[in-house]
Amino acid sequence: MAISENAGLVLPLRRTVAFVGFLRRHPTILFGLAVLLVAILVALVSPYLLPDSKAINPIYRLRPPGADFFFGTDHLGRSILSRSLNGTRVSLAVGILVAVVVTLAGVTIGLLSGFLRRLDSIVMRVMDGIMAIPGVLLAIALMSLFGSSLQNVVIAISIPEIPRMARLVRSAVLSIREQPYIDAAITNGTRLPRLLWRHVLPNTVAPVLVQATYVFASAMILEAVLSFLGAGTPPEVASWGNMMAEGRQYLQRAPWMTAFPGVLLAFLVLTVNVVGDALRDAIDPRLAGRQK
Amino acid sequence: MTPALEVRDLVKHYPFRRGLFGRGGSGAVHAVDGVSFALPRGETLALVGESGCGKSTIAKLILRLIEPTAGTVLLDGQDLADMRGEALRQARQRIQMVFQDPFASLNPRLSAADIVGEPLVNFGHGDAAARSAKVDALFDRVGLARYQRDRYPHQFSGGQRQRLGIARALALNPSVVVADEPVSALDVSVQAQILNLLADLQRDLGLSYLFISHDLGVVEYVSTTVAVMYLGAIVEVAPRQRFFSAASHPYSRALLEAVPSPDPTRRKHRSLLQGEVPSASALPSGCRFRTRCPKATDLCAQAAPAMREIVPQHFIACHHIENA
Repeated sequence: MAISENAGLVLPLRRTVAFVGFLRRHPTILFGLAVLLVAILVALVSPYLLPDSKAINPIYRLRPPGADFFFGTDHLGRSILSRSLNGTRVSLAVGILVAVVVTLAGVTIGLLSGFLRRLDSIVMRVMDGIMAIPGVLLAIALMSLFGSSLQNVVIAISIPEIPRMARLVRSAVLSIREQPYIDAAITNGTRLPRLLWRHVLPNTVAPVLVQATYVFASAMILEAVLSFLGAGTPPEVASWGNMMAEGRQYLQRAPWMTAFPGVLLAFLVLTVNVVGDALRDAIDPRLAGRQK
Repeated sequence: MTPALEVRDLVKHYPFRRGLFGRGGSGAVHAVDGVSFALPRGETLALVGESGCGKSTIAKLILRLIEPTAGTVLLDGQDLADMRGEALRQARQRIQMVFQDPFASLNPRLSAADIVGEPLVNFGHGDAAARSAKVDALFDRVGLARYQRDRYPHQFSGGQRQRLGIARALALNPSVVVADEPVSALDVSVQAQILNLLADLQRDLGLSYLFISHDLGVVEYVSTTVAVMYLGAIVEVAPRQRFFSAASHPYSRALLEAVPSPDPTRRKHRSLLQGEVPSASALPSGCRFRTRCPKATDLCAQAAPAMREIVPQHFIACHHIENA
């Protein structure tokens, strides 16, 4: 029959249509995703379109924003515009990578400890231990241990964020495992790996997706904090945290050095948070309007 | 001939401690307390009783979704209760379950065809094309349309969902189906359709049903034999006609008299039960029904009545019923 032959083809198309419909019903998410897309585009393209962000030009040092330099220059005469837009790369890369790492690790840990009770008490005590240390402090300690590089920043920020995700997934798993469809799957002879992968995991997606956006946002802030404290990305990399740290010494003479990266960071974090909130409201309308 | 399913002395206790560090003493909730019954091939055994009497616990114990404290569950003469791992998984092909809640018993993230096809994948039945054909056949069998294959559970009505649940249970060609209140969540008109479907399947496939219900009207329609449970134990077992004409245990009588009659001129004298069901963690001494029984005497407090066969095939646990 034509229907069954097309079944494999129809399904992805139907999902795409459903996704487009979802975005039309939730303009906030659409707008937020559009802004993020622009930011990603800027991050990818800006190094090739703008003047070199590393070009030192002492003659033009500390120029205020104007026709020559839209965002002004810093104490070494480097263009703040170039550096700010290039900084989008670091923030987005760290945010996305941390969100991915935390989601993968947190979901794995949460899934296993939610289903294997013997593992649970041990794993969750380790998670409690990590949660007891303030995230920034732990990240600084890890950075001084590993040395500064983008990869190490991602690891150092991920580790303090993992327990929260693991706990969230674990609590979702604990309620899912009581559902009759899990009993049904067991009666149908489903082996444990397939049970977790096909019956438990897909039903945790909604809260995990929402939590991942919050991790994304807070990772960008944490990266800026680490860089500001000199424990983040190497100084030669233009990141918003590094720029604000350098700008701090010239705050009174050249406030634009700090202002532009600060505003961009705030804007991007706000966007991600708004998308996260809207996503939560869309997925679980019961929570809408609460928790403000 | 060995029965399709036989349960002997099945026990499930949930131990607990009272107070800090168990200083208040310990005890156990006697959810299921020594239940035995046999389900002959091709027949339907209806397990009835009020909420909380342990009916669903028995279903879960039989399928080993929870671990029994003691007892044996013989499926075609093999003991399910002490199987583990792969042996248990293989044995589950022969005993399947239809669940009460047609909403919560279907994974919302799987399509209808995937739900019905899952058991086939788990046991490696055929290649993808063969499985797809089998799913089509199952859809036909339970009265679902093939074009509904790619829909998700939320796009079905309650009755259709229960048909999906039945198709899933049939996928592995089981010999025994445990149906835990399969129609109690459905509208009355839909209930009849599902009951008829179950009856057709039994006739055509020779299935044996353990049918759990609290609705005596439904039980009268589907059962071959009726077993009445009270507080974790069976108090009376009788063939259907015998049960609905001559149930003798005071609890069975009370259950039957509580069924509303459609004829308003036929006002039955009703012996409504007094009091509450005792806690399953503090059972009364002797007969567990004595606290609410109109016939209770001192004997009932001293000794628990044993199961006796008062007429052939009619078993009862009560001190005050004479042998016929």
